[in-house]
Amino acid sequence: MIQIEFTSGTRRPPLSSAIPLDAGRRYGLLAGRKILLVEDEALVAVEIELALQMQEALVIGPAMDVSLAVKLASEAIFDGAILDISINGGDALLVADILTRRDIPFLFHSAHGQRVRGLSKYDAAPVCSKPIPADQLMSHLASILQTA
Amino acid sequence: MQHEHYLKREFDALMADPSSIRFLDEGALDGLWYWDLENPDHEWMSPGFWRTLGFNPDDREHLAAEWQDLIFPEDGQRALENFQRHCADPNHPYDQIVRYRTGYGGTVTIRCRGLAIRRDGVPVRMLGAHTVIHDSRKAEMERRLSDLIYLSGDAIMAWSLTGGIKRWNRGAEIVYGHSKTAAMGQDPNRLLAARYDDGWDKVLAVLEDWGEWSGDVHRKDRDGKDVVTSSVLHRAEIHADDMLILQIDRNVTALRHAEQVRELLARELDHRVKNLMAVVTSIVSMSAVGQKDPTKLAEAIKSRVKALSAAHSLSFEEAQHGAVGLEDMASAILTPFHSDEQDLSVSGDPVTVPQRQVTPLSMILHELATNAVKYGAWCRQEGKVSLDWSLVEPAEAQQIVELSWRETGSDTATAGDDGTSGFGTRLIDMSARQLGGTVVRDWRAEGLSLTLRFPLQTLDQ
Repeated sequence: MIQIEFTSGTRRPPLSSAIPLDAGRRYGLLAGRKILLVEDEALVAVEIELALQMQEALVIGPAMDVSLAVKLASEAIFDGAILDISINGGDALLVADILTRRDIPFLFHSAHGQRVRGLSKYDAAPVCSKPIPADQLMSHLASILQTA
Repeated sequence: MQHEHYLKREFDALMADPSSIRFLDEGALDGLWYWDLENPDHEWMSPGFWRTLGFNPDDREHLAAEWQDLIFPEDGQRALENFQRHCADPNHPYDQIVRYRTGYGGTVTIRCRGLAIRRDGVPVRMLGAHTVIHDSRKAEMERRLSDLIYLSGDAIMAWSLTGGIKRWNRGAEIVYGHSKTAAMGQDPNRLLAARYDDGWDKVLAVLEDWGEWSGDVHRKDRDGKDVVTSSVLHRAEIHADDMLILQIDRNVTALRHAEQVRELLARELDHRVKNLMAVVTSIVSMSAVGQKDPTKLAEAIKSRVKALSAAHSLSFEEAQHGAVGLEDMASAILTPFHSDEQDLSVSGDPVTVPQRQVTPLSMILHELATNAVKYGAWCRQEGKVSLDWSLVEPAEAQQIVELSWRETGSDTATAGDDGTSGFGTRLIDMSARQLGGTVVRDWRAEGLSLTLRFPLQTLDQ
């Protein structure tokens, strides 16, 4: 059964709860943007979800398998996407094709890095190799949303 | 008187030069000898004479007895008869085939010719030359070489573009399964469905231009099985529009397969390591949320990373796809959390957790244990946790695990509300989704009861 899940994330985390590690980070890079998250590693998904919420984005997903990812990519309304390439049930390049057709900017976030064949045809999509700090991932995402 | 050709005169003069003798000895003939018939014990033999017979010239003396000991007796007898007749009559040629025992234990067959030099009609010296007819060493080598070719495990064949296969060794029979009789006359490229990376036309062009081509070739044996060979094709002859090709194929099917598997494993390992790194990075940043005390933060990170590494070190020990027994995994993760053996009971059907499901399951178990220590059964003296699981519908292709975590003896059953439990709950829910399963929580008076149902991935998924 496919479940579409929206996580509201407009709550800016109170600065008082931030530990010193967070000092100097910028918030609100993605204010009001809707972002599709395709990621099948629960912990990583939760982390990115939180990072997106910190940037005041609205998270669509996370989709943890191909069928949900394809459904969300085709039907949901959103501004950008973070795609893990190899997820439960196959590879997410199908999703990349749908996003390209819909002209929605996205980036790849994968432990396979640049080695996946066939990435070159999505030349507008940056490839972020795991592990990458979540705030860097957010900056990359913000920059492709700006140019789009 | 007939005029002598000037070159003949020059030739005779040239013969007086010692270097001419050396040339004849080494270049044109297989040995020279010069015999003193007045003093027949003495005979000079050239260096080439001894080398041909397999001896070091420096070890031999210039005595007729030296060769007389080596010649086959019956051949020596025949030579002696010829010698006597030639001495009596210059028109009777001293010319015969004789055999010598050689220095390396073989036999060499030699045409031995000689001419008596006469003074006043009386033979006083004799000049002779050896020419090798047959060297048993060479013949033996050739025989052994053809044995080697026959016995080689490599497929060795000779074939021509128009006439097909002409030679087909035992190795070819073994590698390709076609008998020699079946292979003769066939085009080997067609017979074996050969596939060259650059195409046969390219190979043929290389053979025409360079005489030799080498590389991997994909073929099919008699049973249709794939055979990968490392091959050398050598152009032996070109005749009109035909070409004779010598071909050696080494079967590298198993080797290439092993290389592929190794490469795949290396990639899989690389992927797993990077994924784990990503998970650890997430643990670090997630543990930081809402945690102001650096000591507690460090503990929280350490505890989660330890659970993960406990589960995964088990998975690396298992030979089969990094799968782990659920019971081993549960005790590796939960042992650090409870002080007393009585605090925890673990039981269930034997279940093997495939590698891809190890991380989310270990995260769930870890979050449950953390929660029990902070707010649940394990923060009270008499609190207990029982972890049970069973395989539901085990006859189905897709096996479902139903796992229950039941806490008893805690009187304050709350979710905890210091801000970090929200993350724990979210992580459990997401991990359950990663497993493709569902979580049901029941907050009862004696403590949390949680049921997790998830399908076991098959090992090769």
